[in-house]
Amino acid sequence: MISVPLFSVRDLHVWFELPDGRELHAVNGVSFDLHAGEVLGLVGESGCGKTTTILATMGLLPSSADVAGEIRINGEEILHGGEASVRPHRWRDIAMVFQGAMNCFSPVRTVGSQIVEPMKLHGIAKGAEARRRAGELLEMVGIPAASADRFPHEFSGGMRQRAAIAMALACEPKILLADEPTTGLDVMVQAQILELLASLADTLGLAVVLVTHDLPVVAEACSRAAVMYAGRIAELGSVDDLYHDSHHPYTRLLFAATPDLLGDDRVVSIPGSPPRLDREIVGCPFRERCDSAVAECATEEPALHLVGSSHVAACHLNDLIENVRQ
Amino acid sequence: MNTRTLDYVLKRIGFSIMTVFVVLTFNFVLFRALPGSAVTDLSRVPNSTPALREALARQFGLADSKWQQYFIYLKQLLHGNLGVSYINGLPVWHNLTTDLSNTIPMVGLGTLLAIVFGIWSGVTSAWRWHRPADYLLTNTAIAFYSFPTQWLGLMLVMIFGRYLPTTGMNDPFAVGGSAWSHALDTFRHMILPAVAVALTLYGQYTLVVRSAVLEVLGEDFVLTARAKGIPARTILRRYVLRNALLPIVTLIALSIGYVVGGALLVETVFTWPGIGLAVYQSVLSRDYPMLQGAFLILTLSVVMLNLVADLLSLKLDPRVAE
Ligand SMILES: Nc1ncnc2c1ncn2[C@@H]1O[C@H](COP(=O)(O)OP(=O)(O)OP(=O)(O)O)[C@@H](O)[C@H]1O
Ligand SMILES: [Mg+2]
Repeated sequence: MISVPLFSVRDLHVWFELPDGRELHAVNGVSFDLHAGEVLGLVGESGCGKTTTILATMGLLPSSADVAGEIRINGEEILHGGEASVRPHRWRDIAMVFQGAMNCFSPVRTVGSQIVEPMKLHGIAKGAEARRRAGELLEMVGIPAASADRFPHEFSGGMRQRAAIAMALACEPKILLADEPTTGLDVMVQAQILELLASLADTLGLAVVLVTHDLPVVAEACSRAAVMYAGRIAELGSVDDLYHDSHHPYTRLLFAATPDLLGDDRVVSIPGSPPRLDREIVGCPFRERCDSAVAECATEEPALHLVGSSHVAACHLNDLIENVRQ
Repeated sequence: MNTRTLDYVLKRIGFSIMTVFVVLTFNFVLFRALPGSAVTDLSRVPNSTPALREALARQFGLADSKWQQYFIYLKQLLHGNLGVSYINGLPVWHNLTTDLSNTIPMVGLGTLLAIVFGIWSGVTSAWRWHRPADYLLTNTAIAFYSFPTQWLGLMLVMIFGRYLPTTGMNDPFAVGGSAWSHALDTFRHMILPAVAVALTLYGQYTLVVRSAVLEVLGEDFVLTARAKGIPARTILRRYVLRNALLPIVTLIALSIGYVVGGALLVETVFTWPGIGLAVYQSVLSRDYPMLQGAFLILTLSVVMLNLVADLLSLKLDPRVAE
């Protein structure tokens, strides 16, 4: 595609300064583009940097984090100007459903008033009009509009999570970052929400980054997905390619470890565990768990290379195969 | 008010009444359960006869059965009769209300100062977490928290004694003069003890406010509020303070309850004629009726403010009634 992507992340790095003075390189050179109406999955084991990546794109990391890289919305860089340059974009252009979205409402104010708040703030709507919209949004996620006047603790966990999605849509954002929006919900509700996100992407042209552990969810809701490992993108491509034509052993093992059926079995059973991120990693970060590592893997970190049309992977094997072929 | 809220309010009030009743009973038992009575010792007085002892016992109502004494005690309490002070022969109730009316403005001023500065420095240090302002304010608070009250009082006397009065409530030699100059004189006398009260509470308030605010700052809804693009100051006010208020209000209400009866050290250092000083002097002169009355006031103030804290938290947090 030649057009400027709606949302573009370039060479994003995040370092956390640890209390003892050392640094933890949580996100290491992540880049991806997102177009209107597209749902991009972001998958990987716990601790691989998914949440950190999306928090960084909104400038929401704590002050102990050092961030480098570019975040562009419609070509406009938003992070470099600091808080002042991101704030107007927050919720207006780019909204988020947080991991643990159940707790994203202040317990002492009604759910409705918290949905209305950003509308007023960003000049979308106010007064009765804003309240009407809040009611509509709640209806859209399957909550009666009248519940807007109730307090968060009067909602069930699943309702709060759905209300969080309604709140994220309050200002008609162009981009929605959803961090495990369906974790902890029962399968029926989960399916409804994924359907909702997909239809929003379809009808409103909403661009969605869907963070999840759950590969069946990716298969169901996403067109493309990025597989993250140790703060890096290991492979990025269409969901079809990742399932049937993966070019990274991690992707292959990850997808093989998950049954294709919709089930609660999202335990990734690749032996071993990811490397620690608070030390420098030499070579390929996956080599110790890899079933097909070669000599080069121990010394040189593989770079992301194109392995198909809009399909990239970071693995020495691909380069070797390419060399052999030539 | 829905039924659940009403239920909660009635329960809290019922519980408070129960507590007061239990303490009253305890107060009664404490002084009567001890072996012997006020007239026992008379047996050692030369020339005392069993007949005299009996007469005295009847006069003080000690000849009745314990149960009868108990009901008389409750009945008299209901009529506001706490007995007569051994020291000045005035009704205990009269003494205590005078003392209380001296204590309340002084402790009130001190608590108000502590609340204002404690909340300010607690919020500031939480907001500037792990930065110089935080270290400075937190360490100051810990220092004031750990200084003994009487030591703080004496320091104030030493440092400011030259500028401000340090004993009593009024200048005994300033006779005549208008009501206004009298009030001003009282206020000048009030400053140092009030500051002493403020300093003893300040450390605790700062630390509690700081930890309450820090806890709320880590909540997901604060991050969400930032993501919504709400300016930092508004988040602090609308989300952080509003949610941190609950523990803060509870703490303050409870601590006022104790301070009313417990400004003993401050009042003793500054000879402020309040209820704390009265307790101190009553202990020295074994003035049991006064002590019993003072305990009653202390109990009532703690229980009342507990109730106030409960009702306020109902107002502040919709989850409380659940
Ligand atoms: N505030 C922080 N300070 C220090 N380290 C952090 C902080 N937040 C995250 N990390 C570290 O950064 C790495 C990435 O964490 P992150 O939360 O982004 O992972 P994740 O992929 O979202 O995991 P999960 O699937 O469990 O949500 C982890 O090693 C984590 O320990
Ligand atoms: Mg996460």
